[in-house]
Amino acid sequence: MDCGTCETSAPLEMHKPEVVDVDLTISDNAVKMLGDAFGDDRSMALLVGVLSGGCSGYMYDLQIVETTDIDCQEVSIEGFRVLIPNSSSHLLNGIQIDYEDRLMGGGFKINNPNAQSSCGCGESFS
Amino acid sequence: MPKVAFSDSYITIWRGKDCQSFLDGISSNLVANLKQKQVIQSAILDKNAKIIDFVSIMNLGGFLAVLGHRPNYKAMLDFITPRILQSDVNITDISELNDVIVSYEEYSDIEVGMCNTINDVTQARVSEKIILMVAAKKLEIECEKMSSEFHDWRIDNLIPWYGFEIKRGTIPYSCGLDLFVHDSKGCYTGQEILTRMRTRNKGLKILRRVPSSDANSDKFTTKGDQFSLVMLNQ
Repeated sequence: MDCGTCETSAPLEMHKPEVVDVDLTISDNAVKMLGDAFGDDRSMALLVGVLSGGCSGYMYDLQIVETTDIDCQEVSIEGFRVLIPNSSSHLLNGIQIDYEDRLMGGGFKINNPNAQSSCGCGESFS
Repeated sequence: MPKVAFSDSYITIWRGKDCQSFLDGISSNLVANLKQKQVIQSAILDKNAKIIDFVSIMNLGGFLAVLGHRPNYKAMLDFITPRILQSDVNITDISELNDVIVSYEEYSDIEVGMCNTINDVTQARVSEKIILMVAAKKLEIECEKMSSEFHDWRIDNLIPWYGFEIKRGTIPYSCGLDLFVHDSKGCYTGQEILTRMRTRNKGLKILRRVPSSDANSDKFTTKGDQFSLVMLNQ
């Protein structure tokens, strides 16, 4: 195979979605849970991202981080730092971060007005 | 031993640390564990579990080579590029630099599921009877056109092929690709639909070789002189 390394084959032009300024809200339950998770330490941030995959095509990716290499926009809500990757900002504008306290399937939930459908477990959307 | 040109194929190089996990998330087989010098075939699916393309993925160490069907190429790119998001995935089309050849019924030391590269020729043994060869064009490896002889061989060996059984918009379980649906890998695009079909035993079809004189000739997916292929309900 000629892998093109020595040739001039350029990487394919990839679709780059428009970066939007994300407007998001956090429910009272989620604020309480984030407060429990962060304590008084406000140097940490909640990274809300989107990955490809899941039954419906996109999966939410929530992480607590101090810093990240990902190109993000930062918003401050209820005193918490929230980081949104610019590459997925168009999918996350208008979301509400909620927390459901249930024995099964509980945890942080994203209510996303951009989602046309989601899979049965609620982990992915399209 | 027979070698035929897979002239309506494309071959791409995928670089970046997220390539395997990305492909794993959008296709039906377990790509995440693919080790160097291994090859696996997997169907890239939309959320309705319909095939966008059926690809052979080779881990060549440092990058993946992804081989698929040229008529599906644009649909495949249109599907994957909005999903790359912040993932480290870079794709290069190297189709113009290489010939893709299907070698069948050939003795080889290469184990099934493995590939190797010698002198600018990468051979990937995707099944017991098929080796996909990707050879630098400059080598000008001789091979025949894909003819009725190859398709008669496919019919005898119940092997689905692009444009015949494997078509964009079909579901892996209804075009003979059930071996390429991993039933325990976890979530991927289209997985809910496939799991539902499997657990309810609905919509599953099986590839059958039938005499070409069979009354259901309008349902043949590959028509041969004496025998043909047809997808029948299980």
